[in-house]
Amino acid sequence: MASSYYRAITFLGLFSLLHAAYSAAQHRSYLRITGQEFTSLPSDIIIQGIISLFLTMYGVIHIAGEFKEIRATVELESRTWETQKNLPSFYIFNHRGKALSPTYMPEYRSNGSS
Amino acid sequence: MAMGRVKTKLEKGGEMVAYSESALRNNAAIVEYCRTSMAAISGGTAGLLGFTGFYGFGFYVFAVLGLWALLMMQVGSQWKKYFINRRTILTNGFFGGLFTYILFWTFIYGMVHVY
Amino acid sequence: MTELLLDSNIRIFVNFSMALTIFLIRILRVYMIKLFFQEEFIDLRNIQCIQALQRAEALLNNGHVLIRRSFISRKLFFCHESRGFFTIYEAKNTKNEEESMSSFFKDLGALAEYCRNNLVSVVPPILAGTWVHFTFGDLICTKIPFFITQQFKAILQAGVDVRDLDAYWVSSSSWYFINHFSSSSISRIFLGCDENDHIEPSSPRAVAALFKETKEKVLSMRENLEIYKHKWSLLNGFED
Repeated sequence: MASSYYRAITFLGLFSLLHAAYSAAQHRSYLRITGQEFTSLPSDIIIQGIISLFLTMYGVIHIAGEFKEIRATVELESRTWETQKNLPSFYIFNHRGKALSPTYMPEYRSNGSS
Repeated sequence: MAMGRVKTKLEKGGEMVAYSESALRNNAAIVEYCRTSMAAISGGTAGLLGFTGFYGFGFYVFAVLGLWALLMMQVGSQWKKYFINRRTILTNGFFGGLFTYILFWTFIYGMVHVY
Repeated sequence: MTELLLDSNIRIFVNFSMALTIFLIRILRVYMIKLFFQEEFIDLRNIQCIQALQRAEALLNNGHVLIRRSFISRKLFFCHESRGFFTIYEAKNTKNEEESMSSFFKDLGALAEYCRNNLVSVVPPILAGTWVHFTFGDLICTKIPFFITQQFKAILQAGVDVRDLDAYWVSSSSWYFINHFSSSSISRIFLGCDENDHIEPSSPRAVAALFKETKEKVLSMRENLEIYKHKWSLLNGFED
């Protein structure tokens, strides 16, 4: 299944990001304990962060869903005549067929057509 | 109605092109989803890398461009099949994403680098 | 000025727990919305009436292509004195209103609606805000990684009155509010919806608002039909 593959990629990326964040926090506290000045993170953490960022973005884009064709003709081509002629505005439910129902009670007694 | 609305646009050659409204909305929702996730994730990354000041905002621009490149890579050369305009994907929701980005940037920066 | 050193316990017990709380409140709100805002029941008679209104409007617009006899028979279907559709509708409506002291109960319903709205969207954040304010109100909690002018100090350092503190330190109650106001797009990704969604997609709600106007619409439509002077447009000059 392609979707679970991309899901796995996304989770791998997020996990790697979390790991990088944890390493960075450890690095900061190490520097603080040893009394050194912070200049920049070690390059492996930076590289890990950026790579996992792109990994996650790649996975998210594929998870988000499939793009659809926007040209209307493509959508119309796949429609059959049965769906095409189905026009809800022309539905009529209030017709004399209801007189066939066994529970039908006429509302009034008509005396000749008007 | 089952049938989505149809939106038309005059092309350069003078012919009308009809677009399906529901497909357009679907694509826009996907791009929006990607954009928000991208803002959150890249904000987190900027925070963990400890960017401050203009470097952070620069990183946001970099991330937006990266997302755009990834999207274009995915749809390939036939982007005209899926989007009316390529540039609006780049610019739409830039500032809305920036808000999310700043939130995550500040949060992760605080978690990693302050204490 | 030397760098401030915050206690690292703040990281887990304030910063992280606050984010967790906000996220959990979001989830709670989504479920509260699901609990309180069920789809409203729509009266079948009202739907019938709306569709009749549509047909009457079509008759008004296109009646001129019908011959007079067909037009009159259609008109009589809507507004015959004793069995026209609109006449029956109005008669039933007035009877119903006498039966139930409707206006009073409607007001009560609106009040309940207002209360539910508040309960869902206002009360949980306020409760959480109060909790944050009293538990870690005057702690400095985090730091903004970009430059900011002194004017923002009042917003960012609510509860901490230290004049010499740099503007980029954030107190925890301010941090709560910033988090709260800007996390809606995140919750939309994680939960699939956010707190404004119960207003937006509810077509039944919009339709229900429409129903309230049906009575007046029926009246005006009936009048229009009565006034309408039919003239057959297909054969100009000839009378049937």
